[in-house]
This record gives sequence, C-alpha cells and structure tokens, in this order.
Amino acid sequence: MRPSDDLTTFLMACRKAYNDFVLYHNFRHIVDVLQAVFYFLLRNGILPPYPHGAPSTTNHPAHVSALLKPFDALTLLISAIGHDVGHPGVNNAFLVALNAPLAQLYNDRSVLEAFHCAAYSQILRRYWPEAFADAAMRKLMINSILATDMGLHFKYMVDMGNLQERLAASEDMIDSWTPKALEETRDLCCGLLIKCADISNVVSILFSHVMNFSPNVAHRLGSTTLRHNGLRY
Amino acid sequence: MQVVESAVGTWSFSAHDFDADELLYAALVMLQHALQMPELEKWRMSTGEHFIAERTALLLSELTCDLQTTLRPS
Repeated sequence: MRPSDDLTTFLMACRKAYNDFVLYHNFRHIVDVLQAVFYFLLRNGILPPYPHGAPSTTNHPAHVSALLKPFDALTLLISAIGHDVGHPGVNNAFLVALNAPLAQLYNDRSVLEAFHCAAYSQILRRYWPEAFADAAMRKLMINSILATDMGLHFKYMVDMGNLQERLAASEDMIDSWTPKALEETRDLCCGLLIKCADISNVVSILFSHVMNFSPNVAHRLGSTTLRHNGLRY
Repeated sequence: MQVVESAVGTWSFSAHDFDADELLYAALVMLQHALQMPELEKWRMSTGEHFIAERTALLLSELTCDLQTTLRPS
C-alpha cells in the first residue's frame, strides 16, 4: 500500500497548485468533483463498497459499467484531482478574445483544459511517477480532463445519444462489439462521468431544496437557483 | 476525521462543510479506498521506498559534485 505520507505529499502539492483567490475553481471544487466521481464509481460497482467491508449499494448498474475496470476508476479519481490545476479564474472565451499567450500556445482549443492537463502531468511526474509513467493511464487522463471543456458539451451529448442508440439496438449486449468500439465507449463513459461530476454541485444544491418543497415549487425554485446562485465555493 | 470518512461515501457530501485540511484528508481517504484493490498494486509503493530512493539519488548527486570538484585540475 502506498504510504499515506507519499499520497499526502502528492495531495498537498495538488492543493498548492490551485489558486485560493479564484472563487469557484479552487481546491474545494476539486474535492467536490472527486467525491462525485467517487460516489458514481461506488454506486456502479466499479469501486468496492465503502467503507471497506460494507454491504454493496450498487443499484442496477448500467451494462457499460462492466467496461470500467479498477484501472479506469483510479485514473478517473486522479483526473478529477488535477482537472482544474492552476485555474486563473477566467474562461476560455476570455483568453481567446484577449489573444492571451495561453490561448496562442494551445491554438484557441480547449485552452484551459490543455493547460490543466500539462501542468498536472508535471505534478504527477514529480510526486506520483508510477501514474505519470503509465502511457495508458496518461492517455485516459488526458481524454478525461479535456472532456471537462464545456465548449465540447454538445458534442458529448451527441456522442452519448449515439451510444444510447447503439446500446438499444444491441439490447445492451456489448460483448460482440469490436475492441476499438469498446475502448471508445470506455473513454466516452469516463468523459461523461467526470463531466457529470464537474457540474454536479448545482444539482446537489438543488436536491436539498427538492427535499423540502413540493415538485412544482421545486421546479420553479430550481430554475431560479440555477440562474441566481453565485456558484461560489 | 470520522465525519469526513463518513461523508465521502454519501451524495449529501458538501465541500463547504470542511476546511482545507479536512478536504485534503477526504481526498486521501478516497484514493486509499481505490488503491486497496489488488489490481492497482502497481501504483502502490512499499513503505519508505519512495523517500529512500529520493534520498539516495540526492546523496549520489552530491557525491558526484564533490568528486568532480576534487578531481578538477588546479
């Protein structure tokens, strides 16, 4: 077992790489996203029950869940921790409009996400070399972090729709799919999981309101909450 | 810390309930839970090996510098 000291040192380095002056994309947001990913993986049986030895709480996991292995679970958790490293507090549109050096470096495409990934890779190289050295893990991590670019959101929604159609057509039996199709599906699932976790904070706030209000009021409140909530950590 | 350990397994987890050190501990708990899976042994390390390797590398580097200084023609 990796000593806690090493993991703690790694996490302290990660924490230091986030800016406290940034109101939303700070370390608090990261742990929130990490925990959401953790919860999704628990409920789909991709992580063992928590706490260790507790009864399983998986609830009709999706067939595609079987595609995600322990390796993918760890990669997703690692990706969540570093997915906003060094966030400056402005978005891609702002950086592109200003022709900022970072936007020039990354050719205006997923500027921040590419930066987070590159910066985080250096943290991994220094503090968790086993994760950095594994080419497959790095590839999946890059895919997952880049997936958090909301500029690509609708592309992911189209891809998810296509996947749902394929699953319906094959009656959820994915065993006959080609290895390439399975890998692409795995990558897509990982991207969707981290995307969902990344924006889950608003839903978790809404959920607590829904618990206390009738459905009609909750629906109206939910819309208002989304519009006027400062989304501040 | 027990509060943190309990909270990380629930949907009602709220990062606003915890300070920076508690959040770090929460992340640690989640990573350790995943790393206990036997398939992930590769990403584990035996106790102290990381620090021993680092200190050994640092010591060798210092010795090399000293040796070069000693052997440099005066």
